[in-house]
Amino acid sequence: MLTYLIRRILTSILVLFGVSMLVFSIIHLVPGDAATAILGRQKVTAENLARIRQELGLNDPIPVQYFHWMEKTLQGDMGTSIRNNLPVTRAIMDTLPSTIMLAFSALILALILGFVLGLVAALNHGTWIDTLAMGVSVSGLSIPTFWLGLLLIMLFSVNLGWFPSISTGSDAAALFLPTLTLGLPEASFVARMVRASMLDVLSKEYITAARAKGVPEWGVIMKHALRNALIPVVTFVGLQMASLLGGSTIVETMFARQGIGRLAVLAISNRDYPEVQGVVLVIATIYVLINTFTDITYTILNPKIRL
Amino acid sequence: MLKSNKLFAVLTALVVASLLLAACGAPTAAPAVAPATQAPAATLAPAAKAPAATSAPAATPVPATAAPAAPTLAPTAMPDLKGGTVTIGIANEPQTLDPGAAVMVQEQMILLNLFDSLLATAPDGTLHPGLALSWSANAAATEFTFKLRPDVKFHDGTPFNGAAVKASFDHVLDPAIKDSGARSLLVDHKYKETVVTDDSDVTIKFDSAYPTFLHDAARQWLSISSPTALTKSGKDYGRNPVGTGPFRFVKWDAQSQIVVERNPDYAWGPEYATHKGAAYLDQVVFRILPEAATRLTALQTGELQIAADPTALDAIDLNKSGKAVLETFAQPGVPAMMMLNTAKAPTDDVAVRKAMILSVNQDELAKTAFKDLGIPTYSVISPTTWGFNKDAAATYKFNLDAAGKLLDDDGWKMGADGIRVKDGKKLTIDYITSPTWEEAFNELLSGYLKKAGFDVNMRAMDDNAIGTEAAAGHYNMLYIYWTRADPSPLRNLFDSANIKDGSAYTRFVNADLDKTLADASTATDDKVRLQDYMTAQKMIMDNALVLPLFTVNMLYLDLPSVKNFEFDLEGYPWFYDMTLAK
Repeated sequence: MLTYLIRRILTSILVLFGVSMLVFSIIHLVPGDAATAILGRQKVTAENLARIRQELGLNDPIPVQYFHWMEKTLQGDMGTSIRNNLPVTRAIMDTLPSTIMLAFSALILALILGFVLGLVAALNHGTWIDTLAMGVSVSGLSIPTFWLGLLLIMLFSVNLGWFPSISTGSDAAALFLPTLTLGLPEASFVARMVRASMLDVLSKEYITAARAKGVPEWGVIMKHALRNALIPVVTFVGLQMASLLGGSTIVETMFARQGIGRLAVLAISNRDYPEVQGVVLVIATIYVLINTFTDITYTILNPKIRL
Repeated sequence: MLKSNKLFAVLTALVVASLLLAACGAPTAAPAVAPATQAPAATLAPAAKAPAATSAPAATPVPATAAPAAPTLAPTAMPDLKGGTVTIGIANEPQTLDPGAAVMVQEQMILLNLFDSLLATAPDGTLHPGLALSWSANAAATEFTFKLRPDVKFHDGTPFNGAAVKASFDHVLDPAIKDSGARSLLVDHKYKETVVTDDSDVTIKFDSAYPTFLHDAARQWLSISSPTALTKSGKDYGRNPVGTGPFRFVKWDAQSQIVVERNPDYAWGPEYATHKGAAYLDQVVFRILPEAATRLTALQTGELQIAADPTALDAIDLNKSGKAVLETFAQPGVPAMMMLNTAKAPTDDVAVRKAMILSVNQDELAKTAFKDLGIPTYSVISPTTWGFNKDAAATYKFNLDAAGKLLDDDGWKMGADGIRVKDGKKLTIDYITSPTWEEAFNELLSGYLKKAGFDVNMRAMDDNAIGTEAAAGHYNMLYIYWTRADPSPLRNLFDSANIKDGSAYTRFVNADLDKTLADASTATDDKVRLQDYMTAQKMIMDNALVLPLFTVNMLYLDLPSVKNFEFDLEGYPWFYDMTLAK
């Protein structure tokens, strides 16, 4: 177990190193010169260009530049935004909590709704209830987020006036519509997964054995079936959490919520390289961390799995 | 195996995520109303000064004005008008709320409500006392003396005095401020120093003549900051602004909102306001909503009381339905137009440029692209601007036949594919534009030019790329507009000294035009300035340097409960007199 843990963590560090190189190379893949982009609203003169290049350290060899950048980043200094001259770290710290809050609430919604829907469908396998539940989940999967969000705004904000269409902060009313928009497609995923996994487990011999032993049906489902059916779902949830962080981009833009997704959009549309680098690095790091965490949870849930 | 799969999965996810982010970047990129441009200053429609249409400009040294009696505490403010929060949806987040560092339109709107300046300009363009009770200037327009109000306090309690004026002006030249509206005003006119005679007397000195200084001193860029806050906040001052205005800064949630609240001590509002004393509204919330559709929805749900920059169609519909009131303001200054590059073929040929202007039907274009809200424009200065020259605007009138004849006589023969050719070269117009700029408008414009035998090569790119291409001269036409209450941007746009590193995108070199424009911006006699600007407009149109399109109409939709919606002279909403019906 320990060796596995150490190995897994070392791999993650390696991946993060690769990610940092990729992120760093963004600024060098840009057509033209990053310095001209940075000059933006200032006058583009040879003198200004030389100054900016000097400031950015663009005159150093690339490995040296990478080293300097990494050194600063590890100290929590991701540079200064071109857009507003504020530290990138601060912009990310200002917006990340809001995104995490949204991703978490969407995940919780997805889990609760998905489990209920999936279980109900599996337990009523082949009946109209199953068909209905799966029909709902297919629709949930097929509707694009931006369209779902618009429909929800139309219904709940414009017609009923129950929830705000633009949302700030973390109070329940402000979170409701964005959570629903982000969480419903995920709930559909979870529902399908739980259903398939449950059906698979329910057909196993040990379930028949448990039933034969006289374990009450409720106990069979909760204790024997569900626990085993959970394993693929856990992996999925881990990956989903990461994708929810990314998916928040559209939802945050639609509901004009502050968040790291919207920060990314702003940074990209303003060619704010330091900010783009910072945001991508942070999102990528979160991805890697969640992945590592998922793998570890996985082995705890099922000790048979040792990668 | 599994490990490398994972690695691959993570890297793929990362790349996909960045691509997704990149893909999502485009739609929100640019402002709804002020589309693509290049010239940083010009695009951002920087603030102006000088008088508006109705009044004669008072650019010359103005004799000391009688001080109005200092208003006593809000005698006219009726209690039932007080209260309420107005939330306004704006498209773009400001970059700073430090007046000395500001450039952008969205910054000016907020600064106008947080800060006061030495003088105040009424919507009709006339100068009134602001933080200064009276003022005078020397004959050379290089030294300006102000008598300051003794009873003013900043939002942080710091008393307003001569030292505050000096600190604010000196702050503009702080090396940390690399480029700003205020900085270019002070640098261009060689700001020398502010001499504080005593608490209530200051003299501001320049090394070159600055005839329009009093008007600039009345605008947001040169408004006065608390010296205590400037020192205390340092680099962070742009996020912690402290002024003397009718509203004081409360908080700025990144990407989300900027909240300001009533300054209860405010007793120094300008004399042209409809009331005295503190503002009526408790709070004004500037909500940052980049999507026009989001702003409109939020207005309909009542989450916003005012939505900035609606699309023309939405604005008309909602106004008709009675659910919202449409407020419009035709921007003075340089209208929306195409700068024609005289240094690149085929627009280096004056006949080609003239033919371009003749082939565009401005009336139809404005009506089609902006419904009833478009104002067709035929000159380099919009009709509501002081110094507008009617004759210059009458130089060209849409006439496709005349355009064809000009091109025929010039040797451009119509080819089989409908595109004219001369010496084996096609009549191709290189047009760099932003992808976020209304496609319909661009198509319409190219349609007109195509009818006359032009081939329009439209190249869509982001604003930064446009800036780079513009600086390199790689274009035949370039979209621009510049809000200002007088024709002074003409010098930035047409003085050949500004071709290199500046905004003179027509790249036209003519000593007479340069001299006229230089004279117009330094002459201390208004009659001379007026004559210079009239002459310059005619010269620009005679040489067909620009293809005029329309005057930008600033649009705001507000709920019927919003009363006393007022614009300042450049079209920024001013919340001081605004009330909310209960």
